[in-house]
Amino acid sequence: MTGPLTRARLTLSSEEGFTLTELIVATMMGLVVIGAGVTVFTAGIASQPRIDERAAQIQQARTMSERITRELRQGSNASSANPSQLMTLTYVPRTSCGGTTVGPAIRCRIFYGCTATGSTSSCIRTECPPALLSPSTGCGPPVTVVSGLTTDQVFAFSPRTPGQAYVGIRLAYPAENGDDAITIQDGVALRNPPLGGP
Amino acid sequence: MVRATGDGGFTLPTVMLMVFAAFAVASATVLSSLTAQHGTSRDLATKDALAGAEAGAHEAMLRYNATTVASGTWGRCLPEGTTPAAVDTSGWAWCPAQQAQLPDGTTYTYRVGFPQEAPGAPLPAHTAQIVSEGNTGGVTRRVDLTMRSASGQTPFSTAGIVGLNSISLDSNSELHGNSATNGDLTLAGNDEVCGNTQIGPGRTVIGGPPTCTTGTPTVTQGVTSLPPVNQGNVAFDNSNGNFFTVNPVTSTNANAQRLACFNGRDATGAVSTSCGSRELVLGNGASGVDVTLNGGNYSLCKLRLDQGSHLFVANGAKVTIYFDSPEQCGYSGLPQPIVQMDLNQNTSIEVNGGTSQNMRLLFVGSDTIATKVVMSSNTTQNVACNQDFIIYGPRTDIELAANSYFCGALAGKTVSTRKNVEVSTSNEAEQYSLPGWVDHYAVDDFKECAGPMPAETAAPNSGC
Repeated sequence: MTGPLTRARLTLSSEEGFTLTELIVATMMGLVVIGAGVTVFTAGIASQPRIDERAAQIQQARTMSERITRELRQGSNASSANPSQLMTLTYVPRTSCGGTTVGPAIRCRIFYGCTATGSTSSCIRTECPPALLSPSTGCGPPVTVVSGLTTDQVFAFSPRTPGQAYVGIRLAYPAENGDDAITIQDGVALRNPPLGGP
Repeated sequence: MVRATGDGGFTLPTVMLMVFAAFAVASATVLSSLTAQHGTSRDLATKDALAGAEAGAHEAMLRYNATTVASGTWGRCLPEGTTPAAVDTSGWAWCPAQQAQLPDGTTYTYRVGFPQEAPGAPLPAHTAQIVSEGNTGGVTRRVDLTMRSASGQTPFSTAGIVGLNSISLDSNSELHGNSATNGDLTLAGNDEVCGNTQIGPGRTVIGGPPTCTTGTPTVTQGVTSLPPVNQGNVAFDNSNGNFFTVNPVTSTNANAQRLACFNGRDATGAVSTSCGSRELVLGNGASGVDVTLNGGNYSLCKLRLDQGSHLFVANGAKVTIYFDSPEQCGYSGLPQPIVQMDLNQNTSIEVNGGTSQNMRLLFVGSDTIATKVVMSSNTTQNVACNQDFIIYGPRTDIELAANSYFCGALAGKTVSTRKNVEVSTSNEAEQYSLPGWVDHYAVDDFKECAGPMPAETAAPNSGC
């Protein structure tokens, strides 16, 4: 019969512990686990800037796609000289075309132009008074709305005569690791009756 | 043996560490995925909300178009019994909000407003505004849609010559009266534009500026709108049966009787292949044939007057001819444009003892099939105008051939003239109001709004 006190005394005085083999195996396994964790962590850290950039590009493309489709939906007229350009007469919630003060929607002429620079392409948006048929004096500053595209061929214009046009938008981003190319596509038919001319 | 069976050792801490590491990695992956999915979910919700908003607006338009209310009750809220709120500061009275839910759970709320007459600032009648908001899981989108009915509108009140997309004059042509277009006004040599012109935003007078020997015309920019023709029930209830009976062929000559054709039969009652269903052909390529109309509404698909034929309106009679849409006339698939009115040389449509308001030609047209009016009357300028009537076809192109003289008022998708054409408008023509059928609305303007729908006590179109 040994009481609790006696058992505790025996345990504390025991020299029994981990064997060398156990310690080596445990250390090795611990190192493997920690190594795997560190590898995953460093890989994550290393890829984070690229992921952030990718996420920003996708967000930028979504914003541009949403903006163009919104402008086209409210548009009366749209024309596209080639797939890298778009001109539309539409409503803009500003007190003046090209201005920055928000106000009741007024009609403005919006120009989108996409150009290739090196291996990628970007698009700029210019907001002008409706009387101007090309970006010039009197327009707001051109603003880059999307960049890093694979191609400047963004717009697919389908005129309907008589009737209203349909405009497709395709924003393609290049693959960086061979398998992560991204394309954001949308399209919209103009809702307003066409006004004469472009 | 004790060690072999013992629970002590590395197992528990190692497994815990591994589980923790795996959990951390999985959590990071899930968080990353959730972040990426958030944008996609929001995009989908945005599109659903917008679709919901548009569904609400179109349901409202359908409801107001489909509900049979007596003519002259424009401005009444639906459902019956609801009344609009007090007039807002912009002069609009808004009906109570109506709500519904789509099968995918998207809800929409819409309000319909009508402009109110204000002293000194009358607002356009037979116009309504719909503000509709869609809501998908808390994501909202709002649209503002203006709809107009042709009923009772006075389309020529500010301009008697209207070409929605363009007005184009060949040389030595003259316009006497105000004109309007959303496109360019194109002039050639020696043209005269005696009246003010409104061109579209950003458009120009090509070959201008316009000149007039009796004054200096002004050119302004603005938007011109023409509601589509509302033909009411005329396609089914009309005076077409009067052709060649109540509305006789003037000459009793048997040959003339055979050269007049309507609805597949000539004036003798014999079957004829020179005209199809609801097509009226006078002359059929030979000598002139005259027919006099004694009043009423007619529904035609096509009118052709050949060499020297005339269509008269009897003294004091009022005639309205509706030209049905090419789709309803069975013209789909035919070469375009479909010429629905073709006045060949030395023909005319003449009103006896009345004004231009006694003869109205209204073309329904089509958004998908091009239609056209061609007038080659070859009448002489500077004599009393005998082509005095109204042409209204906002979806139809109008072409006046060389040496023709037209008075009255005309409105088309485009208006073009050949050489030596003169068009004059008159006070009577400018006062013409379109038939007051029960309102049938069409979309006139579409805008998206910023922010959610205001409270019901406020104007719903703020931010639009």
